[in-house]
Amino acid sequence: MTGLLFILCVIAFGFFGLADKKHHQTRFEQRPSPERSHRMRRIGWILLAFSFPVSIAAEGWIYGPVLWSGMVMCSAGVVFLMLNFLPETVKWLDPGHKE
Amino acid sequence: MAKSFRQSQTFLHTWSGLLLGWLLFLVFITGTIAFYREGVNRWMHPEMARVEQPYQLLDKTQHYLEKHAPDAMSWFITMPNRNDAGSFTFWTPQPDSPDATGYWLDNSARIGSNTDPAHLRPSRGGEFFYRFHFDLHYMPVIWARWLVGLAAMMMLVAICSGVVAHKKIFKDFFTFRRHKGQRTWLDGHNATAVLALPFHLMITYTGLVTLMAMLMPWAIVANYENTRAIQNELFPSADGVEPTGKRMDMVPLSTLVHDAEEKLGMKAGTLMISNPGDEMARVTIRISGAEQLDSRTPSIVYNAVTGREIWRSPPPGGAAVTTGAMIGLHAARFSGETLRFLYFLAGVAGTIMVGSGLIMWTVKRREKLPDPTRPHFGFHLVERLNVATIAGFSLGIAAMFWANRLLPADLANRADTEINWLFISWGISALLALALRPKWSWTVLFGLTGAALFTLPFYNILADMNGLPSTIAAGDWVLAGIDISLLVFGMAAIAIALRIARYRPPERRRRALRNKGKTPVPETLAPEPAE
Repeated sequence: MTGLLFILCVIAFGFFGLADKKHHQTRFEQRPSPERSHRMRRIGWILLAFSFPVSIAAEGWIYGPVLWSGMVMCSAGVVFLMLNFLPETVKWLDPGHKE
Repeated sequence: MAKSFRQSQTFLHTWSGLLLGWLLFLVFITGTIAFYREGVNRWMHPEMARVEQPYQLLDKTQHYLEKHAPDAMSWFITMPNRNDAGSFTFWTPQPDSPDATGYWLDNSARIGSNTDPAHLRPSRGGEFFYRFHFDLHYMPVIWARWLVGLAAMMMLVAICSGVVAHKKIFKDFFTFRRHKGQRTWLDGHNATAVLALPFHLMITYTGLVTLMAMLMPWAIVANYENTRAIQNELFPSADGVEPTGKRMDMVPLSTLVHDAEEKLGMKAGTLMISNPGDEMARVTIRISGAEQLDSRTPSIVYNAVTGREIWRSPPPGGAAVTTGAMIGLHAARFSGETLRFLYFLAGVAGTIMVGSGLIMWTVKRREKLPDPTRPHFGFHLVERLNVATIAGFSLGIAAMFWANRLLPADLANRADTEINWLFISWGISALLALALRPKWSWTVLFGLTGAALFTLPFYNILADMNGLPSTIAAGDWVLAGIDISLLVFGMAAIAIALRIARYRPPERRRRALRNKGKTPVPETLAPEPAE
């Protein structure tokens, strides 16, 4: 459950991070449209909101919120490191994006 | 031009951070290590086997105390558990006893299942780091707590002003501009600060809560005649009894612990025995702080001769639980392996945040110096203090770990000597920081720290002191984790040392070559921290 929580938070922050113009440019080789950024951020928020009940399920009502804040911070850090330190050759191919 | 609010907050952030930053660095680094204080206790007592039979070990401790301190006024025992290095005990001798030195550690022992306390290498272990982060060292604890309390208040100011000053806090959440000098330092400082911001706010505020009665006593003074009055209300206890002088045997303490654990449904943490061996002997069993978020745990008092329960702590009020929970959040005793590691990572981030902030002060101002080879005194002071504290204290910690391994077990005052080696190394580092140019003192000190940390796990293997192969094979992840951390931090320190040694400020050299013979081009003004 804790592992699932971690993955969920990493994906959420992944959406937040990739919505950023510079990181989107680096990893998708095109700048995001404002709607795309907005959409990605909205997905990030939904995933983050969903991770809260997962943390409650993992550790209960007292320790769950503590675990949640810890995981949120940790996953933000992991995504920060990945986006800024993975070589620029690591990219995502996104067939859904309009040219 | 009138300063904007943001600019004034920037000024406040810079100075509240800088003036107490060196002390805050010490508090952060030792506090972060203290999250694993039991683990470091075990690491620094390598001859002690992991506790497998806590109740048997408790009885062994009782026998030891009955033999070595039968006439003491009181005994204090920490309940042995799997994570800690055996059972730690200390006792208060009678005032007229020759053992009454006034220093509590003189009358203490660490009891292990496979060790004889007389032959155990005395060491403060992880307890040193825990105590240091609010009691410091070599000074009366009240002075230390005032200093640390002041530093923590400035930290809170620095956090809040930092958030206000950070104009694009959401936009720049994932920003890290590499190879851009001052901007890179800013992005690094911002990342460690913002990504772990909830932790930094929590740990600083709750840290102040632990010292609140000292820092802001006026509500207490206004409402209570003396400290005893509020102590009795906040922390009710059974009435003390005078010993009658009639010696009587006590029941085995493990039976009382079983009873208490059954009644309260939680594991015991500590035992306090008053008037041991007397007719009026009492045992106060307190539940372990690891069992709940509220650090102020319930307790039961027993008659030690009959084994009957005499008194039980009443349920605490709302305000007391709130305080206890805040202190619990700060100390993280409740945390299991995952949460404790998250706390540790956040602490590392905080340490880097403070260190990078201190360094950034010099990086920013170096660009504005009229003559970089002859900076003003303030710049010198900050630059040298940075080296001495950040690199020097780290080397001191590495030296203390080595002292734990190398000092002979029967050395007099061994525990204190181990700690003295931290400060001796720190002192030598400070002298180096004064004598050498900063580029070289950074390199040498970080290089030495890295080498010292990295080689320790290998020494553990050679000297058969819970080396990595045996701890991993035994599934002893706390000890293995400490050795792995030594390797990781050692490599990081060496990498930093190499980076600094190889660093050439490119722009300045190219520009100097370009401008030979021409009037100097002014450097572009450094932007405000939030931009």
